[in-house]
Parts: sequence; C-alpha cells; structure tokens
Amino acid sequence: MTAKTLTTRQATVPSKTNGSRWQNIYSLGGAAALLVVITVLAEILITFLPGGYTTAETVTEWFALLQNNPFLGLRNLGLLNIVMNAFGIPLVFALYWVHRKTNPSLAALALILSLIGVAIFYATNRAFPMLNLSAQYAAASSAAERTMLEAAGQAMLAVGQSHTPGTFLAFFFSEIAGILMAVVVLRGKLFHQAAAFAGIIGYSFLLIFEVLSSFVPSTHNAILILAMVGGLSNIAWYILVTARFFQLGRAA
Amino acid sequence: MEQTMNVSNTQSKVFYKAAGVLAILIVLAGLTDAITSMGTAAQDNSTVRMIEWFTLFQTNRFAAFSRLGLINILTLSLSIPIYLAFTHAFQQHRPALAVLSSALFFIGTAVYLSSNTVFSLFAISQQYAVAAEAHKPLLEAAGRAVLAQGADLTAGTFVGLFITQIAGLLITSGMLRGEVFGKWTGITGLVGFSLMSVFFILTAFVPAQYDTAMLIAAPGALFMITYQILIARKFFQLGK
Repeated sequence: MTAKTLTTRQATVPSKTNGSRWQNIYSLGGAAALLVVITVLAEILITFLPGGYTTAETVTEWFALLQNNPFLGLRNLGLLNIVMNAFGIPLVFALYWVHRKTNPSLAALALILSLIGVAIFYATNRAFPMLNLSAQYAAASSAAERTMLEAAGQAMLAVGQSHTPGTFLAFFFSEIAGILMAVVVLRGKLFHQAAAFAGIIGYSFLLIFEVLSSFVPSTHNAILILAMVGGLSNIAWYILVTARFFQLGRAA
Repeated sequence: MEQTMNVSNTQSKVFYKAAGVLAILIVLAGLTDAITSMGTAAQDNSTVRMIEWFTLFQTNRFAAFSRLGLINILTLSLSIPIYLAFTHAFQQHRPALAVLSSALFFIGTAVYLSSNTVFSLFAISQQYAVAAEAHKPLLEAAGRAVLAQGADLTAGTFVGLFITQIAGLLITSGMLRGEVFGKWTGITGLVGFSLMSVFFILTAFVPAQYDTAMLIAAPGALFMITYQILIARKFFQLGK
C-alpha cells in the first residue's frame, strides 16, 4: 500500500470521536442499497410470475392492461423504477458523502447528475396519469370521447413509456451518473475494486442499451443481451456496495 | 495531510481543464446552431403545423431536433460541470452566491429537460411515418399535445430556461468585482444573459414579435459565445 493510498484512506475512514456520525451514513447507504437490491429482485420475480411478461403495444392495449391488472400495468410503466429511484437518492448521497474528501469534484458531479436524472424521471413518468386515463376510457360513453382519450393516452406514452425516446434523458443522466460514481468508488479505494468494476460495466452496458432501444428500435432483440449483462452487473454493484457499507458501519 | 491536499489540488486542476473544454464545446454547439440555421426563415415554433414537424423529422432530422431544442439540451447539460467548477473557483470570494446560482442552474436544467418534448415528438413522428391513414389523426392529436407541453422557445419550456438565465445573471454579477474571473467576463456574460432572457420572454409570451426577438437574440448569442470563450480561457489558466 503506497503512502498516497494510506493518506487517502485516512481522509475517508472516520476517527473514533465521530464514529457514530459516520455509522449513520454507512447505515443509510447500506439500507438504501439493500432496498434497491430487493426492488430489483422483486422486478425480476414479477416477470416470472403468471402474466408477468404481459405487455401492451397500442394505447387501447395499455388501457385494457391497466384496467384488468392495474399493478402489472403500472409496473410496466415504471412503478418499480419510481420506488428504486427513491431508494437510490440516499444511496448516491451516502456514496458522495464518504468520497467528498477524496474526490470532491467528481463525486459532487455524479451526485448532481444523478439527482437531475431522478428529477427528470419523476417529472416525465406517466404511469399514474395513464391509470387515470384508462379509468376514464372504461367509463367513456361515446366513440368520440374514446378517440379523444386515446389521443391523450398516445401523448402520455410518447413522453413516459420506458426505454423510448421520451424517457431517454432521464435514463441517460442516471447512467452517466452511475458510471462517474463507480469511477469515484474505484479511485476512493474505500470499497472493493470489484464493486467499482461491476458498476462501471453495468451502467455502461445499460447506457448503450438505452441509446439503442430509444433510437435504433430495430435492434430490440439483439440488445436484450446488453440489458441482461448490464442488469446483472448492476445487481452485483448494489450487493457489493450494500455489503461494504454494512461492514464499514460495524467497524465505525 | 499534505499528500491529500495535493491529490485534491490535482483533481481540481483536472476539473477546471475539463470545464474549459466543455465551455469550448458549448461555443462549437452555438456556432453549429447559428451556421445551420442561416438561410432558413425564422419561424415561431408554435405556428408550425403538426404535419410539418412530422415531415421535417423525416426529411431533415437535424433541423427538427435543433429547432425543438436539442442544442439547448446539449448546452445546458454541458454547463452542469461548469457551474460545479464555478462553486470551486468562487469558494474563497463568493461561496454563497456561487452555490445559489449553481442550485438555481441545476433546478432550471432539470425543469427544462423534463419539459422539453423533442424526443417524444420524434417518437410520434416515427410512428406517424408508418401509420395507417385511419391512425394518423390520433397521432397528430397526440403530437399537438406533446408539442404544447414542451416545444422549445414556447411557454411550455419557458420556466426551465428562464431559471437557468437567472442563474447566469447571478454568477456573472459575482464576476463583476474581477476577483476570480475578469470584470469584462462578468459584463459580457451579464449583457448576454440579459438579452437572452428578453429573447426567451418574447418568444414564449409575445410570439407575434418573433422577428424582434430574433434581433435581440443575435447580439445575445454573440455575447454568450464571447463569454464562454472568456470563461474557457480562465478555466484553462486555473487548471495550470
């Protein structure tokens, strides 16, 4: 271990006097990362449940899905991403906080980009407005009213259907932020290198997947492999970060 | 401790250099926008018919993306690390002002990026290109709703852009004392952001005065390009 590494670690690891304060940050980061992992696993589990892979293409199919199975409809329009992003905020904040002395600029940039990505995602997600429209559509009494609601639904989907151009910016910002934070983690040496590499690989693959699925939809089947590798690497990143945060919390 | 400070100092220098490069990229984006829009008649986005947007997306994709705010999306995104670099550069002299203007800038950028619907409209135009005749009116109606929500330089995207201009006015007013950035950098930026604020107000709320707005935007853009060059130069100096 070089002198530089030692000093960097000294700047990051807390002294005994402020140990409990640091323990709070570690616990926050660990708990948030764990909740993200649970949400991701729930997402995978739902896919394998009966009807879990059901999806919709047209507006009327979306309305039908939302009326017949509201949970599945909302989930396909990003419900679990809403939950995951909520847990992601304290996780990214904890990662920023523990690296703010060793890599202040890049850690702050990653935090800001991540928060902007989350803000764009929440502002553009249309899961709940679509549920509302589907209820209006089911209750509509005339063909003209139904046509109007279909047009409104089409506009909603154009803005907020996941992995389409409408949601590109939100995912783009979050994934760039993820790559930067993984680089910060790699340089900070507080977490295991494997965690950082898993993060870099995971977010990079998901970024490529996002660009292609948004703008080259003809590659849809071919790029699923990118999503799979990216998703698995991402799960590894979250698990390793969770484990390390709890380990640091116990040592603080 | 000294070693840590050296590491941090080296990182700051790298970050300043990166901010300088991003400022140059903003200049290039601005010049590209100016050059490519030469020779085309200036037209208020809210007066363009839906079918014309769909056609433009299919025949001249760059023009469609550019007119609906892709350049603004690009320049605002590139400016995020620049504002972070401002908070570093001003931490001795004007820390509160720098943090406030940066916070405003980040909020404005998030609002603008979530309200701009250029990518959504692109998605609808792709569907429109292959849609059956019976389905086209539905897509036109959807396109109109999306356009009303977030066409660039209209009331739909005004709030986000305006907040970023306020952030620019704040940070450049902090430069007027000439402590970190030169006094003339501050003046140039202040004039540029003021002119662009007027431009955004006119295009959003007085679209009938679109030609007047363009007359204000032209010198505004020149001031902004000069301002970006000046801050790029300073960031490169700070990075040495």
